[in-house]
Amino acid sequence: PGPGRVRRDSLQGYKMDASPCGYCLIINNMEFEPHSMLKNRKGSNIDCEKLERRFKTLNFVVEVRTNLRQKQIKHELLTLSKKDHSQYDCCVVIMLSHGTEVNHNRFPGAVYGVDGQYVPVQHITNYLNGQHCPSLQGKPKLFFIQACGGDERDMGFEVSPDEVEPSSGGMDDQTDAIPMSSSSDSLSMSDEPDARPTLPTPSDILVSYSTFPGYVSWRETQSGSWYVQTLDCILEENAATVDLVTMLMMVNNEVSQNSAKGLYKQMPGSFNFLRKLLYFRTQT
Amino acid sequence: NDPALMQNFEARRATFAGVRHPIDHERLARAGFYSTGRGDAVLCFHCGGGLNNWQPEEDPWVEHAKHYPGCSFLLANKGPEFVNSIQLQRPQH
Repeated sequence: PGPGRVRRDSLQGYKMDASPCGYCLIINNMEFEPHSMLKNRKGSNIDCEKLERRFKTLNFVVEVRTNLRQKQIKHELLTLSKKDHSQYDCCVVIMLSHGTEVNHNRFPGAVYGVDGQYVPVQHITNYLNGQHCPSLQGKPKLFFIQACGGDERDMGFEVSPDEVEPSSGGMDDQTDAIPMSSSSDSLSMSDEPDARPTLPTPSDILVSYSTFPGYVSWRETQSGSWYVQTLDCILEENAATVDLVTMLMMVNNEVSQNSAKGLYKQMPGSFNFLRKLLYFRTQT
Repeated sequence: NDPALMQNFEARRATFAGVRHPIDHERLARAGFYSTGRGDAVLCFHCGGGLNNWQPEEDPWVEHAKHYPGCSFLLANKGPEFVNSIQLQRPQH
């Protein structure tokens, strides 16, 4: 118990008081194999160190993996999903790498291994869903993705504009049928009157992207990426009192204002399927 | 309804002919949706995301952004700020 922190409504908030709170896996891809045609990501180690420190402060067991190929990324995620999380309240995955566009209606985009082969974000999230990782069922699963392309100056990359193309219904493995039941992740979604998705809804998952598909993501070789710098600062200043989603709104505002001064725009995106507020428990 | 034909707004709107739907047909069609012919269930022609159980006060674009934030038709039409504003309402839904 820390000093004087007022939690508004514990019924509405995820339980986050396990100690430690959960695992945090950081995959930091900096040095890419020559045949991948991807540049090394100078400055990423600064991002990695910041987030390692930050999530340790937030009471997570942090593991860092550096320069992983696609298969190794999958292996690490599988290993994480096989762990027993029943004593923990949360799980965090952070990916620092190059990225590319992949269409998906919930979690678009993909992250590269150092071999130039990518893993779609949707697959990354699937490793920890209720089906593949029962001990995280009903618990918040957070994904932070700093993904940029390679550029001559190692600063960023302009992704080709998103093309609007018709879907033939088979663009991903969730749309090949039209199930009309919305029951999926058991625990949730039983009492809302909203329009309901006719596909199983991912619950308790939040993906925070450094940038929307089709937008640039900036990294500076000396100070790290805009997104991670901002995320780290916002977490430092506000994690004790403010919920995660509100903090991500602060990150979005700050990064987009920052980028608005430059030639290109960067707008982080949060794709949020959490059901409750999330307050980190900060160390005192 | 062949999804490939549903890129066209008028084609989408035509699928609602004779359908009793709590939401205005034109607004649904503008937001990328066409009727599946089963109850109030609709699909987005672009991302394939489906929605049913509509409430009269709901906004098709808002629901699109809430449930299928990665849809690039949505992003191209409404922009990332809109999607963020829906996704970062708290708590969700």
